[in-house]
Amino acid sequence: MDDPEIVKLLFERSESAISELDVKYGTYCRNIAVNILTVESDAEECVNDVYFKTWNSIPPQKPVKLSTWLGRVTRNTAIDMWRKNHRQKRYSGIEEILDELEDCIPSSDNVENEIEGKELAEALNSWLAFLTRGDRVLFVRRYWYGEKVNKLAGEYGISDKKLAKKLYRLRQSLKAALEKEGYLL
Amino acid sequence: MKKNKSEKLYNAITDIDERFIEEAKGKIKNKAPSYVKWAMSAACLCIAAALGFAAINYIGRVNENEPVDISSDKQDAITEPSEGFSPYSSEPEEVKDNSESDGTVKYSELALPETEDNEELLNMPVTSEDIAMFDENMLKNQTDKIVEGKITNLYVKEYKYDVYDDKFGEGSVLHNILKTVVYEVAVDRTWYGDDISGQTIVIEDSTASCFDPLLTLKKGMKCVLPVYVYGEKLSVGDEYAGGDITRAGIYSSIYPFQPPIQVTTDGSYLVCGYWKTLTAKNAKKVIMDETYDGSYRNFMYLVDKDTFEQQMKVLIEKI
Repeated sequence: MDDPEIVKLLFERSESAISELDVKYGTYCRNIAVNILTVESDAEECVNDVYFKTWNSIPPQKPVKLSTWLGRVTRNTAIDMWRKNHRQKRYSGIEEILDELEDCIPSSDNVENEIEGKELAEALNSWLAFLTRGDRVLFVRRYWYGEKVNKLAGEYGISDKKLAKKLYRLRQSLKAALEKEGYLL
Repeated sequence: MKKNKSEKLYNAITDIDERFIEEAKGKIKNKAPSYVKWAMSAACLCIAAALGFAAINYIGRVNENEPVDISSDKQDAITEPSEGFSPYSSEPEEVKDNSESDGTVKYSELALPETEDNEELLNMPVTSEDIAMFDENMLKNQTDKIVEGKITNLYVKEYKYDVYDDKFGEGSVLHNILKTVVYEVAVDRTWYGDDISGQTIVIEDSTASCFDPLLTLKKGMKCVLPVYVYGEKLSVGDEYAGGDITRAGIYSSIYPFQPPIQVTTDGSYLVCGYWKTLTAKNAKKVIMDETYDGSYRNFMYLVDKDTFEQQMKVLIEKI
């Protein structure tokens, strides 16, 4: 079913919208949730929450791109679950990503302003636009979709070590870009 | 504390531009066909070979200007270009006559538009390696658009860029030179994909079509071109380390290694026989002139406008 038809069903408050969402985007949302949370049952719970939030948000919201909108809701929901549960459970997916992202934090010696959410996203967009397509796709697959290093390495046909090195260089490049602009996280 | 900061960054990544999120989703569909990437790399190596020792000395360390000592096994990575050119490992087999018609037409009698040769394009370095023969299935899940239009400009572009390559020592970089073919196409028909008729698009390919002086891309030629969105930057296939890799255009041909489909001034289509569907009906075999010494003597067909339109619809159904 096309996205506009699913959105139309949601606007009509038809419960079949949720089953259609699950058919079309269930795997997509589950993959994002599993990549972040690692624990299958928690990922399943996360996806159910996403459907609930979708039901409550559309209407009034009318996403232009349903897949991206759902991806963002899934990411945010999974992050909320991690925040709530991480003292009791270890979600290795997001923990590893957060550890890696520490490399991108600008040194406080060189920075002037603390950058906030939207501005930070804009800075990221500028940096991403400067990258080659291959590098950009790799960064987004790892840090937006949360895909595992070994899975990506397998797809790219290179060793885990080489891919990790490539990601490290990208993180260093992001750090340098943020520092150059004088941003503080 | 650091964790909070990386969490803040992680949250901000959630809100990056949705174009980037979409671009990375289902990446397989959008990636360059493997034979195209491979060919780019091979062409690059051949250029390195053509540059000989100077090219080898081009390899340097990131923070040192001294050239690195290269052992003989490393030099083996440079591929020698072959004498002359064939897009295949050997002369291709003749394509079976899949047309229902026995008609023939002489190439010299085709109503072709006036075109301009580009010497630089014809003299581009070429790969000596095997390239998979064209098959219409290559269009599946790769094609973003099929456009028809006149080539209004055509030139060769040269890139110089560096990639990290640890095989020459920790942190060393490899300097690369790559030439591409850039052509601007004034689109007057969009056969497949969002309609961009009336616009001029820029297509950039890693190689110069079929390297056949008669049938290759030329300014003034009107063609039908299946293309995909390659992106704004050159995919250097390794760890980018420097140099301008901004492409002239975002589009690339799905398969640049054979003669493009040409439109004659009377509205027929000159099509290579590997387009099985397009040449399946009412296709007249084109008899090349005796002086023609290219690889496509028994490969070209002329398809009338109505049949081409009908067969293109069949082809589009398949992709």
